[in-house]
Amino acid sequence: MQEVGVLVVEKYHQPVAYLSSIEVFDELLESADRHARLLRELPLALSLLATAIKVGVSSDAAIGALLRGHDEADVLNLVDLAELVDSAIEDRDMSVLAAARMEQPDVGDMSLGDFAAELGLDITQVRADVAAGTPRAKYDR
Amino acid sequence: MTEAFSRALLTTLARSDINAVAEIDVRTAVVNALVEIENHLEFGRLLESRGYTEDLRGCRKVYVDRPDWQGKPRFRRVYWCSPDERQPRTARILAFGPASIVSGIQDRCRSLQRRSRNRRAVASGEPKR
Repeated sequence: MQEVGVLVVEKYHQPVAYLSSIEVFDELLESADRHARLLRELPLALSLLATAIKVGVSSDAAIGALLRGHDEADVLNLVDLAELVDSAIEDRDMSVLAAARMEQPDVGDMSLGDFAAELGLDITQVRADVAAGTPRAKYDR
Repeated sequence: MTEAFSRALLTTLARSDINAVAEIDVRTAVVNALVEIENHLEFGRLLESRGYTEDLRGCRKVYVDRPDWQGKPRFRRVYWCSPDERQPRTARILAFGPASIVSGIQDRCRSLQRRSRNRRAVASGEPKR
């Protein structure tokens, strides 16, 4: 091994590498750090992927979420994949509930006006608030 | 007014779901959301069936909470646009209840990745994020 560089990397007191600059050493450390984080996050990623497939998410969508525009400091986008799994599980639960309730006869259905009155709310006022854009609810769709 | 009134109908079970919520502000938010649905029947996002249930075409969902709630809304509502999703005339409110019971997964992922980033920041002397 040619002895050039400013840093000597030793293993068991034997030189195994010579690094040309401290920057190279930093890059190696960063790379090792990314690998360590990848190893830490991989079991959770695999578990999330398995759950995603089980609840009906396509493998393309699941992998896409895992690798989608993640923060450059992160190796995998676990949060986006978890969100996809969450949404799929919820859709599944809601679908089962909705399917059961759609079978219910509509004889007991109540209009919005009547229901608002039952809750003690003035529906005319609520309609006016909505028309005026007064925030009385937070939504997510 | 009567025309608008008939555009959103609540099933008995959906009404029980809403009445079970103790927070008055949430119930007001629910009625607010119902007015939005009534004004625009396609207000909610279509439910994705993913092949594990029967035909749910026309079913939509909306997440709702009181206006000052920080974070993702805690409650979700499912409604069905009848008679046809392409030409809906009425929204039948089918269900209402707490949103995802599994949202802890996202929090755990966020926490894991935040810890990883912070560990790295500490090691390199960068400020924590």
